[in-house]
Amino acid sequence: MSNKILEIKNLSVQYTTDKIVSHAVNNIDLSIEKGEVLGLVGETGAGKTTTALAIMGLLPRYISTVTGEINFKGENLIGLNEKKYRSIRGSQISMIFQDPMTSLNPVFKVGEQIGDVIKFHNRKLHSHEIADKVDEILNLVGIPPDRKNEYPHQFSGGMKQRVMIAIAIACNPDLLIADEPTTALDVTIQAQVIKMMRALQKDLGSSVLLITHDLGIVANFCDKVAIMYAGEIVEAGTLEDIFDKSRDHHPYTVGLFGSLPNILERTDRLEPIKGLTPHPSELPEGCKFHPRCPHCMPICQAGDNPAKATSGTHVIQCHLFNKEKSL
Amino acid sequence: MLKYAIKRILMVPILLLLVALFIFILLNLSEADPVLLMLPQEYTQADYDAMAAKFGLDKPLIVQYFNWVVKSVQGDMGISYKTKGPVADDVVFRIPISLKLAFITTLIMVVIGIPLGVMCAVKQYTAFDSIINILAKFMGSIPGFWLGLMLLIEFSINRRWFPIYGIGTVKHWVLPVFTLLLPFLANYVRQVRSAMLDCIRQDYVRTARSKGAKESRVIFREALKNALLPIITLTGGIFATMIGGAVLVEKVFAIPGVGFKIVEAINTRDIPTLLACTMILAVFTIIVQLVIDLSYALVDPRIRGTFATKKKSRRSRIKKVEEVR
Repeated sequence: MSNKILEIKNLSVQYTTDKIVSHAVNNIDLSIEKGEVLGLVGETGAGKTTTALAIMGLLPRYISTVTGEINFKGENLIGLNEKKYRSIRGSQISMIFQDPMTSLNPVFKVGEQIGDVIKFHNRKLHSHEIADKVDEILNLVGIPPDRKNEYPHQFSGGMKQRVMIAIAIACNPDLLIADEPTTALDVTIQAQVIKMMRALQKDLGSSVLLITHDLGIVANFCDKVAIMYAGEIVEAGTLEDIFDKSRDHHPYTVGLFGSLPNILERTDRLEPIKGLTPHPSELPEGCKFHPRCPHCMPICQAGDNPAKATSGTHVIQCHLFNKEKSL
Repeated sequence: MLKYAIKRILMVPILLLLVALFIFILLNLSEADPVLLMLPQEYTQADYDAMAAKFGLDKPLIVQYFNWVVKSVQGDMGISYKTKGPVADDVVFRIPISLKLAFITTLIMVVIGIPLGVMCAVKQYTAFDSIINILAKFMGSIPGFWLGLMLLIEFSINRRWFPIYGIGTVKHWVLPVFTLLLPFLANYVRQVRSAMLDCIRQDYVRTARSKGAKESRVIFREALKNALLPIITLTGGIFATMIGGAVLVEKVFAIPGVGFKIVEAINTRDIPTLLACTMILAVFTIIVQLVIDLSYALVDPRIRGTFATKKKSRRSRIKKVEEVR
């Protein structure tokens, strides 16, 4: 119990704009233990980034409502005062954003942007101590320290993401949230960045919440996986639970894996999941996946969410696997 | 960077020559014959020729232009058709007056406008933002001459707080500056607000927050420095406009500035004076533009970079060539 760095209970996030309520995240439960890497997988619009921003406390204030619990090292972050939250952000929880091209401030030197985060959380350090620390971190992420006086536009995409990672790990955070850290990079750079992140994670012993839609990266990097659909976690478990095809899976997970090309079987077409992710303001009744589900039953189309079927570490939220299913 | 600055400064005289030529041709396209304007009602051909020769108007246009350029460079801006005295005497003393009015007004506009605009952007959609917005729209639509006259009637004539005309003391400047300021300030606040809104929504602002930066730092350092580029352009443009464009304010408060003189010169078809005034405005506009361009490079490393990388790439090319050898 005490090993849990992050424990999310019943977290919901709603956006309200012009009287339209979007249910971006609905009653999710997540937990990450110390040194563990959790992969959060799902399509665009499934609520992954919203979950991450909720943990960071960076959701747009006036339009979002957050309910539930986000326990970080035993302390609930929801409703935490801004000053305290600020001292956690960047030092104990830090985040790597999706697009390194726009996530660095174009008018400040790279070294300065890394140094800032150290300065914010270590007020007593001298400027030369901060400079030394910046050099050290740049070495760690594989950037020659003499490039710290350059500006972001002088860096390539992969190098910018390294800078972002440097900013994120500068204060040895307990939890690192990586929001699709490789989506904006090309494939060879993706591999480099993931390899580096894995090495750093091992060295620093941080826990990582990795948000992605790339199952290959998940297989490479994660200990646990949660599959997110329409703001809910439809399936969660260890890497083996999710990737072992012989076990039971949520139809959405099956669909996700089905839409990957398989090198062993020759097929003319990939099999995508039919239909589109529902808009969070117009979620269907019952199971959110039922309009697209190939195994849809009458019970799926109405009422509440299906109960969670648990076997060991593996949790599936689907009527198919419910013991008392009534066909 | 230095190379760029020198290049830009060398462009200035060439630009001025072109501007002068353009104005010269435009003014001579008008139907009115300045010689006739200066002659009495009854005149002989000999009178006409003598008058034309006296002002050099008998020569072809291009020769007139060259003569004018050569003399202007030496500080002789020609003889006014109206006063028959040197134009320079009538114009040069006006420059600091117009500059002072424009400078004070711009300074106040920046000092009030930037904080107000930033506040509006930060508090977007709140009552504060709405009130400032409505006020700005309202103030922006008040015509300057009307406002000037109303202020004069109320504060100079009825209440006698301020003098009615002239430029002697600080008190003389309060009403003209306020009159000139208000419409510009209204527009300025709205522009600063929208420039800031653009920057506040950027990803790097979110990054700054995720680093644990204080909100004040996020706004005034990370976002504002990025918003400065459009704000600098806007400020410089307004300053240049004010130097020559304060005509109405100068007229209402009888401030003997350049704008005042331009209107007078147009009315009397006093081409040498008009030319001189226009050139002065052109000089200041070009200088302001130069300052804006150079300060861009100070604020934005990407613009600085475009000059630095050129040099670097040449050096690396030389290096490559050496390696090949």
